[in-house]
Amino acid sequence: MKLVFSSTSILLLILCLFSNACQKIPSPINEEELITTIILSVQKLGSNTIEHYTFEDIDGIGGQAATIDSILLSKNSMYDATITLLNKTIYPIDTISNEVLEEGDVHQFFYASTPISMLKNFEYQTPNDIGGNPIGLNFSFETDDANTIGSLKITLRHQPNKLGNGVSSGDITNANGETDVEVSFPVRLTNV
Amino acid sequence: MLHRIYFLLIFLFPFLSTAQVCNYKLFGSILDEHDNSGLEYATVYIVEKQMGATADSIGNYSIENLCKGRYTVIVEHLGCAPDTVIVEINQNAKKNFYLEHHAKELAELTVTSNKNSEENIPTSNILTKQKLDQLQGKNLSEILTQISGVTQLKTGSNISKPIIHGMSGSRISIISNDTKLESQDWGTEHAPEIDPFNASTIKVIKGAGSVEYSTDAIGGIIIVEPPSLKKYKNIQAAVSLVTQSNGKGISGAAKLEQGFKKHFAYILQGTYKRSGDLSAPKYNLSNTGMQEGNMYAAFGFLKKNWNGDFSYSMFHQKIGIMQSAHIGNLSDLQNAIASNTPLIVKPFTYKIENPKQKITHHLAKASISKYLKNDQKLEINYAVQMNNRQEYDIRRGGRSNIPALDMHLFSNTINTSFVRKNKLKKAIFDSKTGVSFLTQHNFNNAATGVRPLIPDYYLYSIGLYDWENISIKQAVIEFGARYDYTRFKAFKFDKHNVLQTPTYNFHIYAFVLGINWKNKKDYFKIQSNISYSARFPNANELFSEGLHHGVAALEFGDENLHPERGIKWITTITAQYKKIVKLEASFYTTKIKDYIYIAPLPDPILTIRGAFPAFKYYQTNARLIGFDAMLESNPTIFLQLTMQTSIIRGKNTKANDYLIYMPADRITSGIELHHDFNKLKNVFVNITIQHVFKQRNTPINIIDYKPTPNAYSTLNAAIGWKYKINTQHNISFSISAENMTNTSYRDYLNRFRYYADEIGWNLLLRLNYTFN
Repeated sequence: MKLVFSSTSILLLILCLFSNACQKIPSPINEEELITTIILSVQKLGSNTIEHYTFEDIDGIGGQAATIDSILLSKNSMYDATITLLNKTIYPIDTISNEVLEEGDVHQFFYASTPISMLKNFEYQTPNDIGGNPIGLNFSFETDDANTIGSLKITLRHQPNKLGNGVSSGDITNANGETDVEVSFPVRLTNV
Repeated sequence: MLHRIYFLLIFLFPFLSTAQVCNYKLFGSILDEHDNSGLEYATVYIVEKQMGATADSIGNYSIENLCKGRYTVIVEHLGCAPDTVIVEINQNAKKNFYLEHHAKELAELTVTSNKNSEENIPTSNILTKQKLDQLQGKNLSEILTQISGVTQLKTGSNISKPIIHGMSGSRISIISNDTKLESQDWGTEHAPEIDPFNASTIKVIKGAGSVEYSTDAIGGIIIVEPPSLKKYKNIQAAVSLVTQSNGKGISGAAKLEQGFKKHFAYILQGTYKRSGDLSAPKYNLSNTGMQEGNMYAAFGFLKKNWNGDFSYSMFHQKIGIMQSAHIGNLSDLQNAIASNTPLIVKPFTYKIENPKQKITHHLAKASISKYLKNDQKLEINYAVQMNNRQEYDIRRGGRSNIPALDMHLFSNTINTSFVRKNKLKKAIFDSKTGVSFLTQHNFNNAATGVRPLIPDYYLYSIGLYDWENISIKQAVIEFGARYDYTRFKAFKFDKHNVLQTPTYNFHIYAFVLGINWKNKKDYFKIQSNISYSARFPNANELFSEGLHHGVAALEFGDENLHPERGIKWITTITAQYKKIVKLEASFYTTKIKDYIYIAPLPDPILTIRGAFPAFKYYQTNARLIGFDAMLESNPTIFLQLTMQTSIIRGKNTKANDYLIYMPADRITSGIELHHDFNKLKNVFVNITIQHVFKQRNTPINIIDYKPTPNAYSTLNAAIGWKYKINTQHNISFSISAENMTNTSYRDYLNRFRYYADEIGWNLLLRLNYTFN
């Protein structure tokens, strides 16, 4: 009797394995660490308005192309800037820049202007990480006094060598680590 | 059984006999152990000479033209446990072999195909236990490179996949314990889950044809045979220990086997391996440690004409991925390449950090067979395989302890076969007909928080095959056919998380035809095999969509790919002059229609991580032509000189361009001195030099980030002996040194060649104790 029972159950299991009846439909997996959106918020010294510029690739790698805002700045001015990173594929929207802040000791932003003199004197602003080294979510810079068209490249490195030569003052050369973000915004300087 | 072997060992080996006399005869009868009746048409096969004889209707056999020497003789009869006996020949010898009719060994499932594949496979494609013992501690792919025409595709130093005649991955099938290994073979960083310590022999079939297992092995088949369940009354045990200087690694293995009253037998085996960071000649390769633990347990019973075998094996591995090879985007890759040394070099440690892989493979198998009258056998076997692959990444938000990839592959196979042997006048027919079923479920752990590379899927397959082998005098003709129907249904989510279920139905045929002929004196042999087979696209070729870390490239599958179909023709010629010189040369050509390969898209793709070069799977026609040769010379009895070479050219015939990742030409030469002293047996010293040429035949339309590495040579040496304490206890010991000159080099087929050199010199000590 026991044998009959066990062989029947084995047979049923095999039948089940070889048919569609046992198919399990998966549920979608949320991309938790995906960065879909970078918002660069800039405020000119002495002005009350904050301008927001967005680089967004809402569906991640592949699919639709990324959308990029052009940045318009006044020449010969000083600016404060803040970076916000978002993951818009999940609800509620996840603010990835909070994670970067929490793990500030293993993250650092770097900035680069092309042409090199268009945006200058980049300076890291607080908050710093627990070791007192810059994170770079907040920074300041100055604009050139000529009308120029160029770009601003923002890079986020994960696990950089924060003690590398020049790294704490914003030189990416010896930072190594793994690149999490590397975006370029078109920039135009005007008289306004 | 054993006392007969000891009896044979009494024939003492003549000391330094330089004269090669090859006119001795081995003759006698093959008898049933129980009633001494002759076993009709049993076979006697001499491994070293690759020749054999079939007994007549009353079990008498005779083999002529044997030289003085020691031979491994395999005696087989369908329905009996095959027996392997060492025979020393120094005069005409009469020898009766006794087989236990209806007795059983585990490996006996493939009795017929074994013998024939041994006849159909050139000797140099078989790695015997003795050879495997000398290579203990190495992984499967490293071991297989001993065979000419087999190379490895590596990801760093711990992960390697075998390449047979330029083809790897799912174009090769690995048969372990008579079951096709169903693992997650989607990328170069997925190595086969096989513990070589558990192999008694490893064979490579370089043709496309084995209709027995599957059709998709266009490149070839690797057969890993576990030790057979022996019915011996006595306990047999083996313990081995290997240490290696590079990575300060240690591995140990133990095996215990026992038979009871010729009706029951079991085997228990376990392996443990651990090593820390490996080192290149000039720097430490940080995070390249590994840990591995494997086990194998089997038991078998025999009752009247029924035989049952049950086995379970488990493979578990944890491998560190070199940190400096883990990169985020193209700029990181360019930085890594611009630096001649890895960007992250830390002091030696055993600790394995992220990125790392954890792989587990379980295989449980039950097989039941019944011996029928007239040399026929029915067999059914059922195997369950569970493969789990976890990849850990450097992650944000405290997620580093959550695998970034966690995939399970659950496979069930049922194989039924009917084996038979017939004799018609002078022709002996060996046949095998079978039906096999496969179900497979691949599923992703949803807790990873990363979109899976490979979607969940279900696969169902049914296969029918027939294989015939006809021996007539010196000729053997083999032919077989197989048909497979496969249904494949994937469950994937598009960018808007809408479920899609692309479903495929594949009908695949395979054929094989082989002809072997040797002259009577066995000085010349020709083996020619032509096979047609097809492989349906892998899940990664169909669906992959995402970033490939390590090469900083985006990879896109194509859901419209269809099966690739290949014809391979391989001819091997073996010629020998007495025992002094032996030449074995193989020529092959493979034509593949709709060959699936990956090629760059014209424009890079912009992502939030920067711009990436993008690659997509395409189909083209391909042709591979190659040549393997082995020359072996034994000018005197204690000296052996060997030379091996292999050359291959792969062409994309549609684009008139070379194929990517083809092994570079190589040549290996070796010299070995060996001698048996009183208690020290098989004392040997050898030196091997391998030269690998620069791969100059690389595709023009695929841009490589770094030029192909230069040619290199490596020097290896080994010394060892076997000490026979008494008839039961044996100890063998060897020391081998690899890359003795501590040369810094990079290999074209190592994906980490962009970041670091290959490992530097390595000293290995091997100690092996056996009791029987």
